[in-house]
Amino acid sequence: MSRIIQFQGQRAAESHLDNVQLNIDPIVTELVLGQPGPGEMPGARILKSVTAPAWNFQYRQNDLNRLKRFDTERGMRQPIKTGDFRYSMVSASLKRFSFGTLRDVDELQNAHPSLGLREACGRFSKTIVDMDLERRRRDLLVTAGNYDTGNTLAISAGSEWDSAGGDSKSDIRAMLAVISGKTGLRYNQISVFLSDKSLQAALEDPIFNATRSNWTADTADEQALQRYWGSGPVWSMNPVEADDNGVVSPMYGDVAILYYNSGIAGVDTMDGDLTFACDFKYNGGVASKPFYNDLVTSWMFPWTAYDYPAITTNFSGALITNCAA
Amino acid sequence: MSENKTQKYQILSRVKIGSEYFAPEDGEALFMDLDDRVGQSLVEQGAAKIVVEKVAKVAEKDADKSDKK
Repeated sequence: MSRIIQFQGQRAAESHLDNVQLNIDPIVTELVLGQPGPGEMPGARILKSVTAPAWNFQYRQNDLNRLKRFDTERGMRQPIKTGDFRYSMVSASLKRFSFGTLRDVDELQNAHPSLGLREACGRFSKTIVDMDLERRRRDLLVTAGNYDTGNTLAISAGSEWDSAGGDSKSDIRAMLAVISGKTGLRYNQISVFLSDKSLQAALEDPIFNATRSNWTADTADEQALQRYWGSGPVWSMNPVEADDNGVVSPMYGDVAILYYNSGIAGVDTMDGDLTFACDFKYNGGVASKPFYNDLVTSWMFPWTAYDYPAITTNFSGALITNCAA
Repeated sequence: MSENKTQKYQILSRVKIGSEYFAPEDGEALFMDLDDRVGQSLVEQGAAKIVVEKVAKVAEKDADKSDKK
């Protein structure tokens, strides 16, 4: 099949075969596409995304009104006072983002299909987008000010879980009690995310280890911690990021995040899920025609985000910082 | 072992010091004299801040001057 090959916006050749016949090397001069391969991101698992229905949308925010007593009998006899049942509404605006692929249109079009350059560029751009979204979620999740008053715990030096004064069970259960007291959730409904550093610190907890060492020499795991703490599922991930100097560091430091998430996308339950109102559309690979810019001969990989930087139900989560010495 | 320096800190949110939990009550400020290593670790987490008592010292100096007069 004939393909149009362009150079500086001008039609150069109809096909690879023509290209070769015209003595133009169709192969790109360089092919270096490293992929960090971040896989699943913890922030995406903790915070539900919310699908934005329109350009301007409103997102409901459940507050303590859902737990208060209302005069329902009155509602049977006359029109319900919707004012009593209103949700706090916040609006968000549409933002557009785009990324170049590091390859221009000529490279992409001239590359032999077997190289998979288009697909590789698409994956590379998607990784950039995924990492960007995860940084936004991370920033929300590790900022103490985004949690309800009393839903954070700062562990001081000397009391970290892997230090002599460490007691992860006491700390985790203190925060389980806070969430349970505000929402009615049972302890075993509340999940615990640990960064890898926090997980390793918990496994070195001196009280935990002292009791375990009486009956096993095995290193514990997340399931053992879940049983020890009496919480919901305990899990860990260790996504990393690199700064401009190429220094790689864990994205989540040494925090523990307790949260409730029913797992039902787009639905806010009565239990008050932690939600993250950021939705984006990614076009799934090589950009479609409207995003090809003839003037700068570059392919764009656009995505749009309804950017609402806040945790909307902040009392159903908790943050513990400085878990590791 | 040398004795660590202590300073006065204001506790801003729930903290764990040793095996105890502390948090300021609603509308009230909580101050504690803490070992610098402990206090600094809380400051780094945004859970405490050092209390600087400059105003009080200036007032004391002024009081001394007025006494001399």
